[in-house]
Amino acid sequence: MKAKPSITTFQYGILIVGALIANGIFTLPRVVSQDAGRSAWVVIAFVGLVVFGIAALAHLVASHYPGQDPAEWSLTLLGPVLGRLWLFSYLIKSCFFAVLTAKIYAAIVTSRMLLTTPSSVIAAIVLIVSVMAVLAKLGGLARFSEVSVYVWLPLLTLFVQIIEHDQFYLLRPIFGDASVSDLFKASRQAAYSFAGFDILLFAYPHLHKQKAPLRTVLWAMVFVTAVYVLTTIAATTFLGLEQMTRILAPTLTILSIAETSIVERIDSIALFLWMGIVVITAATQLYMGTRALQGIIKGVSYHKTIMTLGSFLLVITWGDTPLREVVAVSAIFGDFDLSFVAISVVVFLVLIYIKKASQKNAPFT
Amino acid sequence: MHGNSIHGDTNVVKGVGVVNLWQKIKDLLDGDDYIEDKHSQVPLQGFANDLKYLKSTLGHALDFVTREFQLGVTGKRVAVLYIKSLADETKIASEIVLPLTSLAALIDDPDVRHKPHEAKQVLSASNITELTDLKQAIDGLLIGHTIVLVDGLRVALDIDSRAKLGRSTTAAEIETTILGSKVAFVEDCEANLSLIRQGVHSPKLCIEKFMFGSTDSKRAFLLYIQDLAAPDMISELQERLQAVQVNELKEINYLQSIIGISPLSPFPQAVYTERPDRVTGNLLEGRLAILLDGSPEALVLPIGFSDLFQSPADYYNHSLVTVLMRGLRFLGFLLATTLPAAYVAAVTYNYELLPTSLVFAVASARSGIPIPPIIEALAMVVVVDILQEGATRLPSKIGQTVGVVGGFVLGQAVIQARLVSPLVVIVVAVSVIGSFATPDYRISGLIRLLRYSLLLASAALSGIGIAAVWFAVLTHMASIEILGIPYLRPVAPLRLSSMSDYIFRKPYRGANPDQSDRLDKEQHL
Repeated sequence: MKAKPSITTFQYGILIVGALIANGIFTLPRVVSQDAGRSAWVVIAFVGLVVFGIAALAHLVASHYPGQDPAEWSLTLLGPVLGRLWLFSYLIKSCFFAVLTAKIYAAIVTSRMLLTTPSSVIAAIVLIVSVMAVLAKLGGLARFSEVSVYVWLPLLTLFVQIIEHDQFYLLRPIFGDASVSDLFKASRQAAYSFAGFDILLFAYPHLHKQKAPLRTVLWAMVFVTAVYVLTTIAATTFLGLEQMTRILAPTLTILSIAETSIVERIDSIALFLWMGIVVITAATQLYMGTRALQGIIKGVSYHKTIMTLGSFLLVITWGDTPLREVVAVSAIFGDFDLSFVAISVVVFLVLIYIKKASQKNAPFT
Repeated sequence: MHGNSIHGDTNVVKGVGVVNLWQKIKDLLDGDDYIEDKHSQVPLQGFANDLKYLKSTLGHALDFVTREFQLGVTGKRVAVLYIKSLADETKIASEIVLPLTSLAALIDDPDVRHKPHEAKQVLSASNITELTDLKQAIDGLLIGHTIVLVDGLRVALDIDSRAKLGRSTTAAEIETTILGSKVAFVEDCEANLSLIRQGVHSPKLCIEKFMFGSTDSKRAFLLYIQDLAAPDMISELQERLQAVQVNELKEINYLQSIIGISPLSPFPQAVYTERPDRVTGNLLEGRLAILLDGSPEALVLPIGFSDLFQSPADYYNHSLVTVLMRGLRFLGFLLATTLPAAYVAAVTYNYELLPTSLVFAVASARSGIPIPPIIEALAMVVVVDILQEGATRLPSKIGQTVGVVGGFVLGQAVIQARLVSPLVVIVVAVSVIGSFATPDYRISGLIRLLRYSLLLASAALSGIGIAAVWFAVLTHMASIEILGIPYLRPVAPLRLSSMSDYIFRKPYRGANPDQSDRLDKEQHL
């Protein structure tokens, strides 16, 4: 079955941005600074570069199957049993990250604003809107992502405004206060913030023009990395390293200090608008999970799969988890997504080249 | 309403056979309307029998006229049948009855049954059809045609004798503009077509006819300009129109949901306009228009959400003025939907959003008010909506009085009684005024729906509730595609080239302004 073209190249990039950016913008500066100290922003830039490399490899795999997504070509490459096993792992990974994303946002909201509301309620709302976004299929999800990113984009200017120029010394010397092992640990924890870029594997077959999308992957990754670096620089220079490592969501704290004549607390507005980005991230994971499930059980309808998966996620999301615990879980499993996708992509590439070579050497083709 | 028609003999359908009865119950349970088979025929069976059949079918109507007379030496009988209230009697007298006397010679011809064409030529009326099916004759009579039965003639003659009913063209009443064309559509489809023709002087204007209703009595016209409208879009709409099976299509407003374009969505997905200039403008932008018999409005599609904020007056104003007005309309929409909810969220949960001086002002305004902000806001919004609904139903002068009494007197009274704070009156008033800023009046229903949803969400979950509702609405809007065109275009997918007539309107210079936003499926996806 050939995927229906429904997204533009620009939307392809926006989907990658939306899938990534919700995971780390509030918590990443603290998580990385804890281990990397002043070098936090360099670690983030480095992880961004590594992720771009993996994304480029993933893109290469996807380009070998222009009309299919991993739910289809994984079975061709790995065979029906191994393929289904891989898809099952993918399903678990997607569900885990969708729930984690919703839970982090819910925990931030209930710890800062709605103190008496159970965080499960907020997480459930995020998941319900995510299910709605996935029901709109990839084209609808891409359009939703576009508008949500546009709505949030102006807030980025505030981070530039917040940077304290006289505290630039906090960003140097780069490697002065962290060992290599600390930097490696910080990189692993930063990896969580880049989870979700693998949506490109699923979005690629839906592209209208499958030309030059690697450039799109590049700008999307550069954009996300730049936002993470910018927020980390702003948080580091404004709060200082010691204070920053004590705050769970330093980015929100610095926004709460920013003032305008109309709105006193920008962080609240940022949190409201951020829901759109969180929904994109959870929805892209949910979309990947849905397609994986459809690959495992052939012939099941798209809508029924989403509704089933969404209901399942709603059930497992229930229960309040404090923000500190959710952030800790994300830091522990931060590199799981990246490792899983990186290993899968390399294996797939090898298999593709073996398959090509065997076809080339076959006596009669 | 895509019901499957029950084919076969009408008697069989009406019978009490267990299988047919079960089929009918099943169809009703499935939500499919029972549709009488329009293909069954009642063939002509001789002058006397045919006349008897027509009289027995329509004879109970007071305005059904049967004029019988004998012609020629042989005294052959002729019957002229029509419905007085639908047909033009002067035309019948001069173009049908009078020429029939010339038919006397023909009637005397023993081979008359083989010469229906000659009989046709005798009549001076244009648009004469030969019928062999009496059901078609009844259909013709019901739309104002005259049926002529001649003893010995093997066909019945159906002659278009429709009276010019209804009104002549008048000025637009709903979509009024200060500048530009004033004329509005009327109930007569032909008149509406000619109004559109006056605006589009192009041989590429295509007009296609579709028949609706159990008796094929309702005509709809699909209009588009070849080479401007995308072929995929045209063929999709043609297929949808051809698939329509309804017993009765009263108004063009039903057509949008009948042709199956997101019938469950509360968002307007087609422009219903009474202005021919708006239709011609849209046709020139590559859109499609539908006219329906008896409807003084045209349906234009596909549209995007942004089209709901455009007014015909935009094209008569300077582009900068247009930019300002469109921005204000969109702001009006946002205020109308979100302001009461934002007020409730701000004074209940998120007072940290407000500057300190404003927090004190709000607190002093609310001091002594016994009811919580949500009840206060909800009560005011409900009262204003009831007033608005009441004013719409009443004659204009009384409606204005109701508006004044409701708006000023009631508002002043509740503030003095300290039932609500003056702030909530201001908030609700701004919200209601904002809802009037949108040029498409159909959006007011959507505004109310969103206003209530947002109010309840803000009371439950503060600004997070408002964000949740808006993002849910946004996912819904992102999911809508009308004839393959995304509802959120040109914002999502982003098309900078199409922005020239979105919030901005480029000044007219050089290129044909009407084609600046030409819809092209490939371009927008």
